[in-house]
Amino acid sequence: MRSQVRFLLAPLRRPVGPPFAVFMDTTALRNSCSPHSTSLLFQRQNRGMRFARRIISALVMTIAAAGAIRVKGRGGTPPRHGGWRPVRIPPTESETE
Amino acid sequence: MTIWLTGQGVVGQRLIQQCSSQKISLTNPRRDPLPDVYPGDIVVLAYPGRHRAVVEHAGQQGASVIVLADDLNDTQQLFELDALFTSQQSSLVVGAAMSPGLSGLIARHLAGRLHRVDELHIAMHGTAGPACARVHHRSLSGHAPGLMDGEWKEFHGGSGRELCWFPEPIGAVDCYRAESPLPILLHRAFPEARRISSRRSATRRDRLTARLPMLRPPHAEGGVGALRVEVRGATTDGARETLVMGIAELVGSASAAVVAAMITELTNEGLPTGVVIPGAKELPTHRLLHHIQGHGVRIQEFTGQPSD
Repeated sequence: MRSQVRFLLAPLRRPVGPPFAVFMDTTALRNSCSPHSTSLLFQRQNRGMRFARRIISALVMTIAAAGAIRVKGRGGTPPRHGGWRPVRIPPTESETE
Repeated sequence: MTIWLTGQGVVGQRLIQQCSSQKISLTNPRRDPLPDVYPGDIVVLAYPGRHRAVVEHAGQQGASVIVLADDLNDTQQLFELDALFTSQQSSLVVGAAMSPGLSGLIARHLAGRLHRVDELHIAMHGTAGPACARVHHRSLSGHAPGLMDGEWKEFHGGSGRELCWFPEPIGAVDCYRAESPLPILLHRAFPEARRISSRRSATRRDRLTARLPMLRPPHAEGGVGALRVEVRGATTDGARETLVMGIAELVGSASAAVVAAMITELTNEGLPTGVVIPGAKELPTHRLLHHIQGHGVRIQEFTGQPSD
């Protein structure tokens, strides 16, 4: 039982080659299957995917927060027009309103 | 009496249109900068750059001079000619454009509704002709004077962003400190004010390229510009009050209207002798603003009440 739990919690083993190795010709596959190049390529791809996923999740969270504020927020949009009134200045100060 | 106009840019052309009833003699600032003037004549200098030599020459001949004043150093030099113009019983109007000029007149009009003036904040949007656009470009990289709690401070042009609301159709525009003689002129007109600031609108590109030469030639005319004058102070019962007025108009037309109003006042009742600054207490501000409105400039007051 204990060993089974340990097996279940153990990290998954990484694939040996890059995921698109099946589309490569044999020379490319042979070159890419060297222990160094395989792990480096995989790490780079993994890092890139993680970065992309983070960006997407950040965007989704921002949009969700903005949407929530817009829907649930109070106060409305401030006026963007008006507020100015033409004035007529008389030639003498005594006539000022 | 002859009215001499030196510089026929956008402001000069508009002035000729607005003063169509008066005879204006034109001179070229490059070929004939020092016309033969006589006592009582009016010389309008509507071109950028240094004016000290021309103004001194006209002052010695007994003529009154109107300068648009867009250069900080030149404006400070013009103050030295006060004694000359006072002795000749003529006037030297320093800053007769939209800002400086109309801004000072509006500020004085608003100050009349307050018991004490503490702060003056002026913002301007837009330019008149190509020469004005070049001055605007340079001003964002220069040193902008400002009065803070009664002390003069020198700020970098392009700093101090503030969102300023102008009359429609301009609306809200980001404005920055810029090199302008306006704070110095306003301080002379309102020595009691503790804070004076002057800002000009600018885009990101304007600020980024301010220290470079102009990358492309400026427009023939800069479209509709705007002016916002904010006066803060206290009423007789000690309550704090903020009053805001502005205009939205072609900068060239508004500047020409200010010059035309000064000419009208000089030819009719006359202005005080010596250096005259728009906004000064001894000027007939209401009459000048009335003349300016007569030339089609619509002055508006900010009420804060939205109109649907």
